[in-house]
Amino acid sequence: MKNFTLILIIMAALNVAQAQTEILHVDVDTNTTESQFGPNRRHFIHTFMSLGLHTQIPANGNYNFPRSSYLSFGALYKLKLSNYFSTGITLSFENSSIQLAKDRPVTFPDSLRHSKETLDQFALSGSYYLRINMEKRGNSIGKYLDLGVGGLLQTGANYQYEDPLIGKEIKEVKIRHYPMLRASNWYLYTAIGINNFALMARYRMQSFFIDRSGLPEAPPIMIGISWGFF
Amino acid sequence: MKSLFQAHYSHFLLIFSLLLLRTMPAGAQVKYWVFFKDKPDTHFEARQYFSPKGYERRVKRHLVMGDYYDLPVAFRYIEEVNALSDSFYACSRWLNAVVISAGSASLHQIASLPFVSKIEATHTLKLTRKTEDSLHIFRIKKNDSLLLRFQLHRMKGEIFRNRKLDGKGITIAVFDVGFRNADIHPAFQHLFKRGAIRATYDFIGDDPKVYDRGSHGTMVLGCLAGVFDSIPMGLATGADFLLARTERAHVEITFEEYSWIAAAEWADRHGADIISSSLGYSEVRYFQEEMDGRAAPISRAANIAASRGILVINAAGNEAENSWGTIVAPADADSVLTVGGVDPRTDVAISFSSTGPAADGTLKPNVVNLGIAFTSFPRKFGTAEGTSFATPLTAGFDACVWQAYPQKNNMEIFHMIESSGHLFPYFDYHHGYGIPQADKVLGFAGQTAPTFHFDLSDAYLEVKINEEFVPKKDEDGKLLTRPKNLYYKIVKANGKIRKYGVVLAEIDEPIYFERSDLKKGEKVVVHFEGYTDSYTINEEP
Repeated sequence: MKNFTLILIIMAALNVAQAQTEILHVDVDTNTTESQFGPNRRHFIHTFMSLGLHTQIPANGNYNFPRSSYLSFGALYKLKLSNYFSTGITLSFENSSIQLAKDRPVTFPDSLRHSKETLDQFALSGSYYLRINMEKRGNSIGKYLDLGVGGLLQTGANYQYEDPLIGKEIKEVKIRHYPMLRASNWYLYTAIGINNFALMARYRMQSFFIDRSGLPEAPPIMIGISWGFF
Repeated sequence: MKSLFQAHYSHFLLIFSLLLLRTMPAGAQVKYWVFFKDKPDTHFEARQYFSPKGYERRVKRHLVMGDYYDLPVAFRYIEEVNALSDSFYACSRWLNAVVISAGSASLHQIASLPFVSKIEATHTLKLTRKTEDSLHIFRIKKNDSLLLRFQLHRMKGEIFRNRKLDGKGITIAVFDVGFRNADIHPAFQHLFKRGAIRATYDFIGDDPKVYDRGSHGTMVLGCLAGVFDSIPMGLATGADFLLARTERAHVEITFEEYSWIAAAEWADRHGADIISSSLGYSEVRYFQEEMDGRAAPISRAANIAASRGILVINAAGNEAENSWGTIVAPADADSVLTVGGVDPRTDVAISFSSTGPAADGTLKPNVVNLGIAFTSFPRKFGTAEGTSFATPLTAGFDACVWQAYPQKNNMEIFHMIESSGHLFPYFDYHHGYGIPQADKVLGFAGQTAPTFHFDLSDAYLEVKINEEFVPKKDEDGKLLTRPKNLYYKIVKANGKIRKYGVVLAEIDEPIYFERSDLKKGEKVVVHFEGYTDSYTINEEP
């Protein structure tokens, strides 16, 4: 709105100055242009970070629920349609880390039982969403409900396991570019938020594995929280 | 994929439903202003409605009693709307409106009632930290002591003191977040001893107690009427006070605006001459283009308060350094005396002080005062920054002026304060008319002789300051006297300001305006050391 230039020159420099020092300068015409960019303006873009847990209801005993996590960083664009509706897209880079339970039936990826087994998927993700705001507000995000659909493209997948050896020694084995996970996927998405903070849920629409090798499907639901940086 | 979807479809629905349910109560709690067309079958009994002091004020100031704004909201309307609403929150006779929440079907029914003129969604709750004044607490040091003396001297407050003008007979309502420890603080013992705190009310907690929460009001009251070691921190040490808590610290909630409006009506009832409000509402609820004195109910109420003969003084806001930038409601109302802040070290607008104009072009801020002040904290004294403190300093000044000119009405005092600004008749959107000056308002200030003159050459319009104002330097080139500020603005032919600024006149050189930057019909207005002059460009460069 009113970006003004304020220049304060240190008094010590005054002695050598050859022109008078302007300590405040405001160009009213250029500083009163109505902005098209802002949390509740026509356009808005911000970065965000999300943290979540993979789960399903009822709980699937094949996965270690509290340790199967989700992390993403990305950017969100919002286009205001009206005070109550807006739409937009998100682009993010995400990591899903699914930890297999120790007491599951041991068929995946082989019949050996390990003390800790983790599947990691790295992916680029994009989504389209419709946002419903609940009330009149000023130039702030306010309270909202997002409904969206998105897709992800796998950029890497690892499988790793750990086994205790003698004493405190741990044996770690990491298989990079693990081929058993689906290279692309799509999901439905919803969130409720207030300003910078949102509770979110995602439902994966395709199977996690290309070939499960007898293992039940990985949890399709991810619930989490998201912070917008603006 | 289909089977997977079917298998977990119910899970997704469950999650979605939970999220939706979490959201729905918030939607159901959206509050609405319901405005009524008229006030039929209402009766106003002035002696019943006003406190004796409030009644006396209306009589003394020759203000009408029992006009449209004084009449209560029609009881029948309240009853009918209440019956259709989920919750009833507030009622304002000034706005002839109630605040309710209701579902969409009920809202439709309410809208169709023949006596309802319009319904407006109120602005929502936002859990966020509000922009706050910076609080710097120091021990009493030399600089603090200098500031303590300077903050009244900058208004030439000693002239009021010498004439025993201290706001006596004037009632000031202070709206804030609370006045923690003000009842036991040494800064205010003189007020409590003489019963100067006439009434208190917490409009957030619906309770008369205001001394147990919120420090900001204690600090604001200090700049109005506090004393430190027998030295006054504000000019209104002889005034009476109404203290209202209308605000919660740290969060912005809609209810604060209703509370402010309710407090303004309460202040009117109790005979307030002045409302000093160091509060404001910005982007949580409004856009900058809505800062026109009409969009925000609180601004409309502030203008109604002014129509009741109350001088409403509000802080401009501390938003200049963030994306909001401009003034906050109700400082946007045209009848509100909006106060910005200046840095006491430079006399230039302090970096955070919100700037004008209002969205409709009204000059804001109207005046400025020190944005750093020495004041009382709940358990100590110290310095604080914010337009919150420039406001009570000005309110104290205004109380003294009104005491000196009791026959004047509130808007006459308003204009007297503006014209007493140290820059008057110059103004800009950072400084308004400048800092009010006691000698000017009391008519002691003489005419200032010209301090500069214009020279037009082919390439420049030059402003040459008189030699006696050029700072002196010693042999090493070190300044012996402080350079003075020269304020300038370029005004378009249509009267709107195109540019303005402040130049530190530190060397014996003119201030140059390039002819190529000045269009025909534009006017360059300059203020320097009490003297204002202008030069109109009559031909294209």
